Amino acid sequence: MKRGLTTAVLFMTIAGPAFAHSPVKGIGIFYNGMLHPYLIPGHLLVLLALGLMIGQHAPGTSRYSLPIFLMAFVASITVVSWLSIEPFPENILLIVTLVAGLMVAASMVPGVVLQILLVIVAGTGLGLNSSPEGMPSDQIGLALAGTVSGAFLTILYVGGLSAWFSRFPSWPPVAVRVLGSWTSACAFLVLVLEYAKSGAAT
Amino acid sequence: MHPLLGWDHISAMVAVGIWGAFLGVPAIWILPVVFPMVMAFGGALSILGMPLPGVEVGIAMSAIVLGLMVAFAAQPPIWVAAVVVGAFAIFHGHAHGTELPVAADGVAFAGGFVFATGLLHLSGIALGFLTKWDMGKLAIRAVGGGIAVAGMAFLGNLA
Repeated sequence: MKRGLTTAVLFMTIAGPAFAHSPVKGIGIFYNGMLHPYLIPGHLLVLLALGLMIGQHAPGTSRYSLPIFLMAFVASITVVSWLSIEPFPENILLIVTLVAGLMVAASMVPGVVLQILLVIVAGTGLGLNSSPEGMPSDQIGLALAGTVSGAFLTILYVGGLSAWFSRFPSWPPVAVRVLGSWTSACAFLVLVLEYAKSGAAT
Repeated sequence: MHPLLGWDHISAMVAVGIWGAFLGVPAIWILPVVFPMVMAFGGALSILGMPLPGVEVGIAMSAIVLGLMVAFAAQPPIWVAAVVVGAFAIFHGHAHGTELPVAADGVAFAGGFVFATGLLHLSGIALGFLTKWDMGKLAIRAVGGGIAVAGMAFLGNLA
């Protein structure tokens, strides 16, 4: 009896942390949070579109957009870690993707107001829809910190590459525009699909 | 995978890229930027249940017409090329859109087929760079002829 109890206690002490709600086992809470934007196609798409848009006309457009995106994301993710809030409609994120993608495809310089509006909506929406479910409360903060880092690094890297590509004289700026066209086409199709589904449901 | 699993889609998309290379700047980048958007419009028509008569015929015709454009190294004004490519893009988009509603994740599915289509265009553009050499130009025009013949075969199979 005593031996069995000792064995059980030993197993409990050497057991690793539980990752029942983590999408990838064994990489830890923070890195699972960091992967969160990559595992939801809609989130990745809006980050790509915004990154391309911010980078295409950098540094003029990125000066305000990047910090404001970060602030909106952190504010909404802080709120969602404390309060139970209804999910943000994913269709609004798709509309942001569509507008940003069209701007990039047409190589149009978005005005400061439009760009700030887009990043605030995207940051808020991504934050509100990144709440980890079924996770112990003491680990939520770490997961959300990972999510913010993952999303911000994505927009930063995509924006950086977009800015770098857009400075070349030949085909690289065209590649940025083609990627913008792809993201907007994809967002448009899914929006129409959602509209058709809602029409069929009513 | 839908655009990569049908030879009719593959041949037409590659032909768009090659033709863009033949037409030179700015067509080489206008066509790959415009095509996904018009294709998305065609997909939207399909998702909304709007029928488009002769979709498969249109797709087969796209291989024939675009193949012939490459074979004859046709260089019409850019707006004509954009209208021709855009018209066919609607047929291709409609065919892809028919598959979309059954997908588990709309964003992943739409992203996949837009990306696959774009890669086919890029393959065509890369092939089109062979036109810098005389022998390459001849080979590419022969490829265009082959695509047109394949299009006729697709059309024949539909009859």
